[in-house]
Amino acid sequence: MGTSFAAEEEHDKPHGYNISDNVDILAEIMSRLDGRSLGVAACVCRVWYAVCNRDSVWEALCDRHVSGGDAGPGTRSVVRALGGYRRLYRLCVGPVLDRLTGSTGPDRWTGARADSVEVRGNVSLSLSLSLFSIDCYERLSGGSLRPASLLFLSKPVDVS
Amino acid sequence: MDMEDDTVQVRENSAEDTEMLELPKDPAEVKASEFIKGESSKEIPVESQQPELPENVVLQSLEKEEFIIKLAVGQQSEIIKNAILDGRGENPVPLLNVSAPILAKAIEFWKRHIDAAEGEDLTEWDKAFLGDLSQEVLFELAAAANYMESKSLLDCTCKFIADIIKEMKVEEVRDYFGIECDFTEEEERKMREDNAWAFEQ
Repeated sequence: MGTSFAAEEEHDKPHGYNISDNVDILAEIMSRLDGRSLGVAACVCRVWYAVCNRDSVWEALCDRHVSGGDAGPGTRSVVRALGGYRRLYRLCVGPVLDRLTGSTGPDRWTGARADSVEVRGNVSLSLSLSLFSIDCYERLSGGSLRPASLLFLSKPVDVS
Repeated sequence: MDMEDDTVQVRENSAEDTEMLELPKDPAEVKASEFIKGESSKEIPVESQQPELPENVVLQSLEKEEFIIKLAVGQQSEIIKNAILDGRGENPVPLLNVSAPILAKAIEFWKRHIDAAEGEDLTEWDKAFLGDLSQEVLFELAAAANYMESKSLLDCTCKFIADIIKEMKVEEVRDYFGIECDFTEEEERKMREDNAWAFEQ
């Protein structure tokens, strides 16, 4: 690393040092963020955007919240074939978790905070992959229409 | 006399052979299993013929500064553990990517964790320890933990930084880490649109 130790003593703000220099560490940090924070982090700068879009980061997040299956190479290849972990979380795992925990999430723009920031809870692997398959099927066969079947997860559907 | 010859031979062989021959326990002999638990006998004579099982390990930082630590402390880093277990007797262990102050902090962390009582919760200590560090040192410590393959330290530092980020909005993150936004206005707008789901209820 070789960064001067004396420099940081002079100035509290890093001077001549940049957190974005070490993307591997950035990825390690991102792997420990929740879904919403990853969305925020992606907006910070180009390097952060690139790291936040690494599928491995979303895989780590999904692994924390998906249970009941072997999260090994077999699962990984299925998820990749269906569209990747980022898509899996954003379309299936994330919305389901919100439903399960009743979490409304913090509103980042106004800074309003929800009571529970850390979403705890698990979605079963089979449910996640089933939902994901629906999305994949729609994309493959839907033509110009945007996949919409999974919208019921995030928006209320009137079934009256 | 033959027994003594066998004993001498055993000393030169690996610890596994010692176990198979069922010789009486000699304080000077350290079995591999004890070694891994870090319970090596304190009475290993200097002229021990097993150089790969030292009680202390010498670490060498980027500036060639040397740190002497107990074996058990150093084993929390895979790099250090492998350097010793490989039996090459590489001593001091060169850690040329880690500067001395960072290495000192890592050692302090490992020491506290190895000294912890069974089931003791060190979360508060960890938070206080890391909270004291400047941002740059914290980040360099994470990088060093990654380089030295120390899972406990890496987990701890990255989780700490992640917890800081969790509390923040985009602008706050930029301010805190001194990051300049390098998106164009158009790109930024698109970025926020793409990630609007992260901000929606």
